[in-house]
Amino acid sequence: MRNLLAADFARLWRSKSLWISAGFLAIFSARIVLNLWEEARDYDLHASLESRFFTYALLIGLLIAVICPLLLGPEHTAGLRNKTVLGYSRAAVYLSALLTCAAASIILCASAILPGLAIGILLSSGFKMPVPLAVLMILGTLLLSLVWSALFTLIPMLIPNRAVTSTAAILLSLGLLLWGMNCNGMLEQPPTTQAYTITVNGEATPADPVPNPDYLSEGPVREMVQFQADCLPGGQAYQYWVANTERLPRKMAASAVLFVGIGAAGLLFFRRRDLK
Amino acid sequence: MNRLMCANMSRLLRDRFFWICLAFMGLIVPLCNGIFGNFFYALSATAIPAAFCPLFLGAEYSDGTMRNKIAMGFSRFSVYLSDFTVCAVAGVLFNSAWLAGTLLLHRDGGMPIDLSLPFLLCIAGVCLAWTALFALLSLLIQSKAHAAVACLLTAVVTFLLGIQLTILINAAADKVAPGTQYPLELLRDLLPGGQAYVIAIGDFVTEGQLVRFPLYSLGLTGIVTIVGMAMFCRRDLR
Repeated sequence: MRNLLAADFARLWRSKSLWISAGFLAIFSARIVLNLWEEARDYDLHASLESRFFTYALLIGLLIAVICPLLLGPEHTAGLRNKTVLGYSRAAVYLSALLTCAAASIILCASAILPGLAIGILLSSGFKMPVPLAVLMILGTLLLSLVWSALFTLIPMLIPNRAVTSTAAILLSLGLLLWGMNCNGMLEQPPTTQAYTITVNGEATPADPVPNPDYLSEGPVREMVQFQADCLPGGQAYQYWVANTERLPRKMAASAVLFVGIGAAGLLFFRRRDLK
Repeated sequence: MNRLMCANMSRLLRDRFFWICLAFMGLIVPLCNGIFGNFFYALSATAIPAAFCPLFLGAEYSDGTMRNKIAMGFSRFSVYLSDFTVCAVAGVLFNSAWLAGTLLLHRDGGMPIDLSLPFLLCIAGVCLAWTALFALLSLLIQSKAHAAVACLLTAVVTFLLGIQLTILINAAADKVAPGTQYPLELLRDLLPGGQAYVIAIGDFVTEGQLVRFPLYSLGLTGIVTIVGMAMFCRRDLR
């Protein structure tokens, strides 16, 4: 297992796409936090650090969807067969790939978190939320990135066609993000909307608020949508982006369960896969 | 050139992924428009060609078809043009399938998008511009996997750039950053992603934009195709 990990990690350190993505995330995170300082200097707007800092949570899924299939793609030419012939178990091969992708996702997160934190704390007023809560939020985004890495380890390890896995991974990340944003959009609908009455002169004057037909009232439907928003990676990505600190233990527990569950499912199917 | 086109078209019609994309655009996207709005159509009309083109054109490299076409004496110019044309036909068919699905779904009224000729020309223009970009990337990058990643990332980045530019334009209009509105608008209207976002939102489309968008798209398509052909003609095809 140690030799497998050494080989996979050696490929990780040499991966150009990983370091280009890490560089992009570092510059992006630094720029977006620097905007806060510029707004305070130029327009006297003092938004909190958390209003921009967690933007990387929205991008990390897409980048992991790009990196992991490219990392694991070369496995299918000779790697998998050779490793099996050398006597390594399928479980060891899959776990090594999973840990490598998990490490890649942590590297990507760190490349966004560290510059953002450094610039945010030095130049802007820092987090408005308590520091322990901010630390938990950051840990939550790390767990979220592990879920993405588990998902985008499963796809390349089960589908041998590299182009198909890259395409499927990117489309899946976009689809999950869209689904998550939609769930959160449904939950954010207000109970009432402002109505207006048109007077004889043609002016609109505010009237009593009317019930919003798109509002999800308390009940099983709202709970189901809330569950999807809290537990699916797309929903969590949106919630971290807007620095939503509610139900954080549930979100982190869901990420942990998803990481273990997707990893186990991938391992199970990989053991049965016919390696040609 | 006719023979190349016939060969490409018959391969298109036999391609399973083409029919899957067509079914998705014709059935799933019109249904999802009710849930996600036109934004989902704009994203799908970007992402589906970005997924389809590299897989379809990349197969020519992996199967050796590209090498055979050149060996048989077809010029690189005609190979590029026929590949671009077949992808453009596929893109037009995807959008037509969406249009047909949406018309069927909303035959009693409540069309989510304007069906006037200028609007349809805008959609056709965006489709051609995207196809030109994806054909260039797919024909110049010989690895199917890397071409797929490049096309999808280009699609997502230019689409997100379109959204971000629109936000900045609105901020400039609110006098937060005066003087930057016109250049930002020009950049947003030139990018296929920006046009797709404006068309999807619908409310912000002015008459001037309805005339400018197809012209910008045609210009972009021409420039990208010429550049792509020039690079393809000099490329060392292994």
